[in-house]
Amino acid sequence: MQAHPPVGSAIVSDTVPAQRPIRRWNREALHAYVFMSPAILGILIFTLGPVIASLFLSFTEYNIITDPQWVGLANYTELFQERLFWQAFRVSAIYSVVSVPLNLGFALGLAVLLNHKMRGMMIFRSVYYLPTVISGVGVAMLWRWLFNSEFGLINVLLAKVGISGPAWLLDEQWALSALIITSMWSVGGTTLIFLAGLQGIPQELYEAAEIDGAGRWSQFRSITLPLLSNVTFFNLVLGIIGALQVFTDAFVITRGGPNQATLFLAVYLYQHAFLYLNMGYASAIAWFMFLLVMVLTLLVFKSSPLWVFYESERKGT
Amino acid sequence: MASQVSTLPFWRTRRGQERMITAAIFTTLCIGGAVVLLPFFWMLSTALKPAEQVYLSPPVWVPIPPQFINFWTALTRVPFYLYAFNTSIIVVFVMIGTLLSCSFAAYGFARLKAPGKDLIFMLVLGTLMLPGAVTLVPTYLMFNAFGWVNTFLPLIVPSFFGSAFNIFLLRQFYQTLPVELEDAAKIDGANPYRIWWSIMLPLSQPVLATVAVFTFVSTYNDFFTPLIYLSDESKYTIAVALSFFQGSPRIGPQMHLLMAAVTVSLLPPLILFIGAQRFFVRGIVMSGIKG
Amino acid sequence: MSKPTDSQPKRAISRRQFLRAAAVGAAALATTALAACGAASQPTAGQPSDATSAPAQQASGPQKVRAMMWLNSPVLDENFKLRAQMFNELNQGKYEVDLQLLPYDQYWSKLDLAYAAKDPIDTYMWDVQAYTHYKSGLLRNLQGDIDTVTDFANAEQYPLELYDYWRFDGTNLFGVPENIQMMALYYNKDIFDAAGVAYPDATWTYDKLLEVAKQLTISEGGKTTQYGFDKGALGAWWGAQTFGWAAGSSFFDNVIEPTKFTVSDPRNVEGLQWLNDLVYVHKVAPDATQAQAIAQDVSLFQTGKLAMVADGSWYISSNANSAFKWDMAPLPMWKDKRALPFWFGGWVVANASKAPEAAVAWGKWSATEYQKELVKNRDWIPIRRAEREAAEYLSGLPSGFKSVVDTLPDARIGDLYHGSSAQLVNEIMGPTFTELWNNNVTPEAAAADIDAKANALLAKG
Repeated sequence: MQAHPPVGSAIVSDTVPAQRPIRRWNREALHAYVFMSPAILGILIFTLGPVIASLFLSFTEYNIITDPQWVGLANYTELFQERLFWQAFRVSAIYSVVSVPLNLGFALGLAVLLNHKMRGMMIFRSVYYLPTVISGVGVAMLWRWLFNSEFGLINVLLAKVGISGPAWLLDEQWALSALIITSMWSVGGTTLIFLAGLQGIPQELYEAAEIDGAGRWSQFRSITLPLLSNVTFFNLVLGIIGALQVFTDAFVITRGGPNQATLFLAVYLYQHAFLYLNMGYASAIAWFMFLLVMVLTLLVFKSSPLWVFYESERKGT
Repeated sequence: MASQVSTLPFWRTRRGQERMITAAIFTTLCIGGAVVLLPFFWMLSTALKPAEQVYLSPPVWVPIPPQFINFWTALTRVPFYLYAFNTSIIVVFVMIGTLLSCSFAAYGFARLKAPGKDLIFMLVLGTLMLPGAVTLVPTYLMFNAFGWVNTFLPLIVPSFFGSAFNIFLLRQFYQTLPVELEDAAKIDGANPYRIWWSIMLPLSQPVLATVAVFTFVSTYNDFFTPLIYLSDESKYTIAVALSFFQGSPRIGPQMHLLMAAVTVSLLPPLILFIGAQRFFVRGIVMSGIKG
Repeated sequence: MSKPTDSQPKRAISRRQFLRAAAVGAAALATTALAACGAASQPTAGQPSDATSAPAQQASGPQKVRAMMWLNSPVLDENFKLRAQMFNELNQGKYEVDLQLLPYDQYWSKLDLAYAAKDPIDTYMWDVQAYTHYKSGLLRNLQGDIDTVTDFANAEQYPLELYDYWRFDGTNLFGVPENIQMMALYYNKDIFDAAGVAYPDATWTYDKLLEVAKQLTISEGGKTTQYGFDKGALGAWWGAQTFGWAAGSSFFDNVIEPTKFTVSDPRNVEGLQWLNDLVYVHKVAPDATQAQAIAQDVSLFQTGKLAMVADGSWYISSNANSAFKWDMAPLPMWKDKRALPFWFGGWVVANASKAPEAAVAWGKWSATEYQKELVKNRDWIPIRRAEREAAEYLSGLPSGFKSVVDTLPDARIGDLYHGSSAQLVNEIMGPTFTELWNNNVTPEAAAADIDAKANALLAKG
């Protein structure tokens, strides 16, 4: 529930109020640029060159080991006609649509639980964060075991409640779901961010609401969620970006199979970049992914005035 | 108020409800925790198995006798102390660079006004959106031209120039802090740099701790970048050492050694995380501002 | 402004402490790091700065050469390090090799990046991916270097008739072969003994194998507890093609630069059908899900619940510690002919290498004097006959090993050399074969699918 109407867009756009002295405005802008300078310099030095290079490469045929050859739009036209590209797109889309809300909700719920004042909370937080620390080949083997159709823990537990589990990683219909489950195991990072956000909500607000007679659920809706919206916004944007770029789990656990059922866009890209040495084509895939993510992110940003609550809006209205 | 004898049953009292909620949360977290820890038990169990038992189906959960020697074999196969030292250097520098540069930049994006700020922010965010695989070759060629190949520099220097993820996170957090604090500081004549250092940083301890932990874990676990840029074995890191147990297409991984090595390598991030818990203190933001 | 800081005196102190500690720590680390980086980068061979001063170095010190190999297992990796040491000792003052071992995937990334940076690795172990390096003109023509070694021309010692597979341009060798790998039939002696069945030998046909597999398959209560045979590596395209080979056909027209895929040839399809029937008709072999129920991520053979499996010769080291007695036999005959794949392991040299003499010396040495070490290590099959048949070598190997190696004349290379080979395998053959072995598609349909897609890809060029 919004306490007051939002003031303009969440990203405060800059219009110079006529009454402010020009000199102060210039100085503030200068300070702003100084603050932003590490990021700007970083982009100029380390990122801009390779990014422009990769855009250029998307219009070439490049096998890394010899010089690129210009081919114009050939990579892009081939891309949109390629069956496996659309398979990868479908896989990534389904995964994102399902796992992003699922992970967000789960992480938020977990963060609320972990925020409760209780002895031993430190241990619980460490336990739930631990999965994000481990990575790579070890995790792959772990999950292949857990999803083993006969003796994997998951099917064993399902059998105890009378359900005959599928072949998971060997089954085209279920492999993607298996990876979604895997992603939920390592929700600790998102949870941690929510937790930091929850820590920033002053206790006094809850106490005041308590005195006013508000119940727990109503407190959650009117205090927690709005004051957490900044952090939720972050997790949502990063969640979308992350979901569309999933690589390690898919590559290392299922290698894109079975029969391309877990061929994520990033896996498809990697195959063309480093296995088939079609770096030009891979760059075209990458820029498609870039545009896709950019569009989705902009949508979220544009929608944010409706639900994201900024402290800076409170004054002056 | 004179004390009243409560006529409500226990579960209707405030204290009673609090206790019940705590108990419910405790139980839920325990069950969830057990589920989350299950893969780690399996990992530990595999680390203690002899090579033949690793792939048996049905799986052996408690190997008897436990092969503690696996830890020794895994740790001595590579010069672990040297790699730990290398990892420490890289990780500490990256953490310092990230914390300083990202919180610095984030303040500019969060609070200060400047023309083109939004565009620059979207550009910064855009760096997250292009998959790294296609910038790898141009980036490598760039660092090669700098002469930085086979040094730690490609791994460390970029972190002093901010990372989009952390800048974004810190920006969001700064935007939750009440403007009154800064306004009070400005009235007292403080410039933005002082505000950042004396107000923003201390108040954002939970999120700074989060950034520190994230940065540690991702740098610590990164095996690809060191492998690509470092040719001397003497410069390898712990993550690189773990990748040695992967095996090749014709010869499978030595899973028991890998699990032993992974178990040991989990300790530093875990310790750091437990230490960082100290900074997850309830918001003290509002204290002294009331009125 | 004074309020927030006043009410948190603890915080102010900790910030100062933090600053002090950070400054001290950073200074300490900076000095150590600079020292470490500086010291460590001294003896590096092959850095861009080193490369430009190489001619000067040649006059004063040994020629430095960079070699690369991928990681396998602790024992193999250690042997490679020892090999490098041995080379350096033997060539003291003349050549000095710096061998880097990397995980398989990153091995190729690093090679590619080195080429992109125009600073290639001088010599590295061959695998099919390196064919793209050849096609881009990046590999040195080694024929001239090979011709200077008289031993290499000795047809008694070296399988020269097989070298044609590596003459990519039709005439010249671009790699120095140092070892070979083959395929064999592995069998569990204990299971055979328990059933009183005679061991496989060189006279076996696949029909005989099926007959014996039926005898050795045990089912209890609807569940199979012991399988007679697992097609193992015959399920990979390079194994499955051997049936067509024996019948006079093949999956594609040329090993080097194929132009047409002919998997749909009935002689090929017949073999695929026979393999699939093992699982779904005769039920002597497990399908993927059943296999997973017995052994996760590794061949069933090592669990002792499988009587026979066809797999590569590299499988010997994996079985070394088996709890049961086992041996090897040649792959059975199909249509009264024996056909099996083999592969070369060898060293290639970069055309733009700045230390070609040393790089070539490494490869030549590996294929000649070093063969004796391969005998001791038994990691790979030495390419030279003297070592391959040495009593000392065979004594550490299963008794059937010699009979397997004797089938080398019947072998053809199990590779596919084309610019798009990775895509052909990974996108077309791999997934379609998986569908076939899961019985989601008939062999005829699978073969037609592969042909259509592969020919389309080849046509693209």
